[in-house]
Parts: sequence; C-alpha cells; structure tokens
Amino acid sequence: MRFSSLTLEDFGPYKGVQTLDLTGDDGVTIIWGNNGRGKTTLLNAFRYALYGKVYGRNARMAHSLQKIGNWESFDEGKYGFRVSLNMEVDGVDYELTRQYSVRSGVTVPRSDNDYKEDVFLKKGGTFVSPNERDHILQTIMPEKVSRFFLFDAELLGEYEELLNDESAMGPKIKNSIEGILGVPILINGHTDTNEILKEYRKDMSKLARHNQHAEKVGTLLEAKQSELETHEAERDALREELETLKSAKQTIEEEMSRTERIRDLLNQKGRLEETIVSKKAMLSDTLRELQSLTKQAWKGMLGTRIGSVVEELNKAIEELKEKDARHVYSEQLMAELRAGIGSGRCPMCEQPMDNDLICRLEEELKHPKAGFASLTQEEKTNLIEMQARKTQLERLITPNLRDEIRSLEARIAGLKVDISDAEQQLAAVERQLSGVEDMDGIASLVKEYANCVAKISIVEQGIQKQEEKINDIKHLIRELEDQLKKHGGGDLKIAENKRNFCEQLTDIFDKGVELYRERLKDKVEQDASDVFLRISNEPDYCGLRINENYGLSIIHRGGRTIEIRSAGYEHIVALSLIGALHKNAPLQGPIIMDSPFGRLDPDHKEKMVAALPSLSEQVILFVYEDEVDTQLVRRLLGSTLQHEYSLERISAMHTKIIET
Amino acid sequence: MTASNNLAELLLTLEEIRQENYPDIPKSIVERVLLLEYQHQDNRVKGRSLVRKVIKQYLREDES
Repeated sequence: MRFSSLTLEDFGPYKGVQTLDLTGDDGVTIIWGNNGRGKTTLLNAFRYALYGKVYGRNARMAHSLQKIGNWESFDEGKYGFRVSLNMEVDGVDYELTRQYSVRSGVTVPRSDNDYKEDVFLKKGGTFVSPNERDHILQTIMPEKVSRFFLFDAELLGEYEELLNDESAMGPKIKNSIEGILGVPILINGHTDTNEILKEYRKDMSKLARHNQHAEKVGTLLEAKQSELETHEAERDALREELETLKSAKQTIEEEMSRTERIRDLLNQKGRLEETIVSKKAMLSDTLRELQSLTKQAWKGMLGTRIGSVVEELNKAIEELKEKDARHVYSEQLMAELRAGIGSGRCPMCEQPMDNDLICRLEEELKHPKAGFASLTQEEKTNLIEMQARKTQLERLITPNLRDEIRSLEARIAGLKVDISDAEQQLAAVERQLSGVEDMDGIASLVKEYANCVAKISIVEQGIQKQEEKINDIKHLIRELEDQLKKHGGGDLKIAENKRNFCEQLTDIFDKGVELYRERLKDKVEQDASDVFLRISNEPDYCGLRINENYGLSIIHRGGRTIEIRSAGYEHIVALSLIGALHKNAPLQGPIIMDSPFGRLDPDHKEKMVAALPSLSEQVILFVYEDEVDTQLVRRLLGSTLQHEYSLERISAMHTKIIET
Repeated sequence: MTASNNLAELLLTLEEIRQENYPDIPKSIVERVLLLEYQHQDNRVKGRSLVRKVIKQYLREDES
C-alpha cells in the first residue's frame, strides 16, 4: 500500500484546500516545519482519514474534533473540515474522504454534537458501500497495528516502554506484533477449519443414528464428540493461560535481571539488619552477665585479705594439731616403755634389758619432757574456734572475678564494634537504596517468580491431562467409527472421508501457526539486526536478540547482552524492530514519523537518514529544520528523496504547504 | 507493493507442512482458505462462512 496524496481542507492550521503530493518511486518524503506550524496535525490528518481519530500532543486520547477545524475559517463562517487520502493498494487506486460538517439546522456549531461525520471510499473511481469500505480499510491498514505505521517520538518512546516494562503490556504488544505479521490469519484458519471439522464429525454421528444397526454406536459417538469438544475447549483455555503465565515469567525474569543490583542490596540490608538484631541481643545478654558478676566483685576484692587470715589460722591450727600429735605419740611410747620395764624385755627388739637400763628408763618416765605435753583446755577450745572460723572464711573466698569481667568487657567492646560497623554498612546500603521505588515489589520478585513457575507447572500438567483425555476420547471415537463402518453403508464412508479431510486441513493450520511463529522470530531478529547495525555507530555491538515477546536486546560481540542502554539506543532498537516488522508483514504500508531524530546524536542521525529507505518502501517524515541538516539529508538520500515540503507560516492559525 | 508477496510466506509454511504430512490434501484448498482468512480478518463471521462454503464445495465436487 502506498499513499499518493493527502488533501486537507480547513484541517488545523491548513486553511482552505491544500494537497501533499506523495506520488513517485520508492523513497522518502520530508516535510520541514518548525514548532507550531502543524507537523503533528499532518500526522493526525493521516490518522483521521484512516481511523477518524485525532490525538493530542501529550496524550493518546481522542481529541475533540470540533477544535481541529481551522479557526480563521470558523471565524469567517466556514465550519468543519475534510481530509482526502489517495492511495494505491495492490495496483488498485483508492480515494478515502472523511469530512466533518455541520448538521442541518445548526447555524453556528458549538460542540461535536453539532457536527456529523461522513466517510466515502472510492475504489478505482467508484464509490463502494459502507460495509465494503469498512472491510477494505480494515484489511489494508487495521487500527490495531497503526502504531507501527504512524508514530511520533512520543509514541516511539511509549513503544520502548512496552519493550522494557512488559509486565502489563507484554502480551498486548506481542499480539499487536503478531497481528501485523499475520499470525492471526493462520490462527483463524485453524479455528475455522476446526469448527467445520466438528460439524463433519456431528454429521457422521447423525448419519449413524439413522442407521438402525448403528444407532447405538452413533449415539455413543455423539456423546464422545461432545465430550471431546469440552476437553478441547478446556485445553485451549489452559494453553491461553499458559501463554499469559510464560509471558509473565519472562517479565519477572527480565525484572529480576534488571533489578539484580537492587535485590543484592536488599539482601545485604536484610542480612545486616539480622546481624544487628542478633548482636544487640548478644550484647544485652553479655551486659546482664557482667552486671551479675559485678554484684559479686566485692568478694573478689576481699579475697586476698581473707586468704591471708585463713593462712594464719591454718598455721595456728597446724601448730596445735602437731602438739596434740606429739603428745599422743609420746603417750604411746611411754606406755610401751612401761610395758618393756615390766617385762624386762625391749618392746622393739624383744631382747632382755639390763637393770641399769631399766632404772634409767624409770627415771626418765618420772620426768617427761615439756615438748610432749598434751593440749591445754584453752588450746583445745582455740583449735575448735579456729577451725570454725576457717570454714566460714573459706566460704567467702570466691574465684578471682577480674579475668572473667575483663573477658566480658572485651566481648562487649567487640559486640559494640560489630554493631556500629553493621549499622554503618546498613546506612550505606540504605543510601544506595534511597530513591528506589517499590522496594517491596522488587524484594518479592523471587517469591513471585517461584509462584509463577509453580503455576506454569500446574497448568502444563493440566494441559497434559487434557491432552491425554483428548487422545483417549479420540481413540474411542475411532473405535466407534470403525464399528460404524461395519454397520454403516456408503453414506457413512463418505462422511468419514469428509471428516478425515477436515481433520488434516485443520492440522495443517495448527502446525503452521507454530512453524510460522518460529520462522518469523528468526527473520525479525535478523532483519532488525541488519537495520540496527546500519544505524548503530558502536562497532562492539554485533546485533539484536529477540525474545518470546519480540522484545529485542542488544548483543555485544563478546556475547553479552547489553542490559542498560541509552535513550538514543532504545530509540534505534525500536526503529529497527519497526523496520523488521515492515519487511516481514503481510500488511505493508508507508511509515509516517513525526520528529524521529530528537534523541539521536549527529552520527546516529546521519546513519538513521541513510537507513530510512530500507525501513519501508514509502517513508514520510515530519522534521523541524534544526533536527537534521537539510544538505546532509539531500546528499544522503539522493534519488530516494522523492518530495520535500516546507510548512510556511501565513499566520498563527494559517500554514501553507509548499513543495521545495 | 502487493500484499501477496508476504502472504506467500504464510502459504509456503503451510505448503511445507502439507507436502510433508498430508500430500493428499490439495494445495489449492489450503491456499483458498488462507486467502479468505487474510481477506476477512476484520469480519470473522463472514470469513468462517466463506471458508465453510469453500470446503463444502470442494467436498461436494470430490463426492461427485
């Protein structure tokens, strides 16, 4: 599809009737215009002609149409506006006209309600019916894929956001892309042939019911077919759910990859907080222990004095005990000597003692030595008292607490250092985390991912169970059909052939969807990489890699994926994808871009201009004069530059389109 | 520019499956169904009705 011309009448600042001629060969048309001259309005003119909608500059909301009319014409009593788009589709010329005119009976329109809209489509010079008009318009450029044809920098930015934040929009953009690439054509083919297959299956069962012998089998067959339909519907619903879950899983994976550093910081934060709590608990316990020991510390301080008193007591006790022992020993010795004197024999060696010796011994026994005296009563009392005192004092002696206290104090100091270190680290981590939004959401990603994986597994099991049931039922149906063959006549044979035909046709479309999808992804990846490498000036980037949702990542020649890319590169990647989609889409048409160079540096602008003709066969650009150098554009595009227009100011509300 | 160039990609994919798995199914019927689906993406009821018509017509011819 190619636009041949756009004619505007009182549309925005385009007062009166003005035409943009777009005829020519493949190439680029550039419309130069500074701010306020009506570049966005021209983009809206295309959108209005095709879809009857006009977008505001900063919102993707339909604009009030009354405000689109030219104000000067309005003041002159000429109300409403008209846009005509001439295009050529598959060799056929079309003229699409959409006009907004005042309803009969309204003298001065005050709101959209005072206007009516009429749409006409001429095909090869002949007006077509409204139904055919709508059908043709839907076929050549459906609104749902318009974002790939008609866009400005803002919409491109929105598109990049969709690529980055696929949590909500992933499936939507995937559907949109598959829409432009033609996947729904195959899906519809499968759905429709499958529905027709069901009808042929039912026909078979009905035929069987008319056959007396086969009636029972036919009834059973019908029941099984109905059961099969239920399970197929259940399986399809689960497949759809699986697609959604897979897309969500990928989004989480990408989010996890994107937030890896933040999650690491959050983990660090968690660990540090745990450390602080645990060390503080230990500190508290140790302080209590120290407090308890301190209460007994006075005992330790008296220990030395008590020790010396106990030592003195021990000495005195030992002296008295020794004296008592000596006395006991001497008493024993004297008893033995007396026994020896009495027997005249030595008590030790049993030898006879002479009289002299006996006399001398008797003399000595009469005068015992003072050192062997027994304890006096006073000494005995002293001994008992001293022993009691010693026991009491020994109870007061406790082990030396000083070392233990010092050890506790060292432990407390260590814990305090650990706590302050951890608190400092925590503060540093918290500083790094400041400004991070939705920390709870990021922290819960791992849990979310695990939930998603678990759900996928459950749904996959569900699909598998349904598939098993479907296969079992199909097997049963075949058996029943075999039975019917035996009982049935030629009609049944014909019905069976028809069913087999539909079954095979359905399977061709079913298998086609997956095969086409896989091939498309490869082609889109390759073509987007080609466009990207033409525009990118970074030699280390070697291409783009496509994911399940047709999102594209930049690949470094070392094989690494570039996770964080600049706004300019986001722009280039988005344009590369659009170029690739155009190359691979069954629906092909012009690309119309408003101010597309804003984010690009001069080198990239140059490469982008050079790559424009490869994006689509017809490219229409609205640019302001300083956005890109005029001479450079002319030199780079050469013969592919088909038309140049400038939007010239007549007044604030009147712009003239002039071909340069 | 023609849409059929790229539509051919869709047909090529289906043709590959047809040739490999169901060579008895005529290429023409697959192509006709695909074309109808392409032409009537905006009107699914009409699309299905026309696909049904084409299949029934083919099967009737096949029967006779």
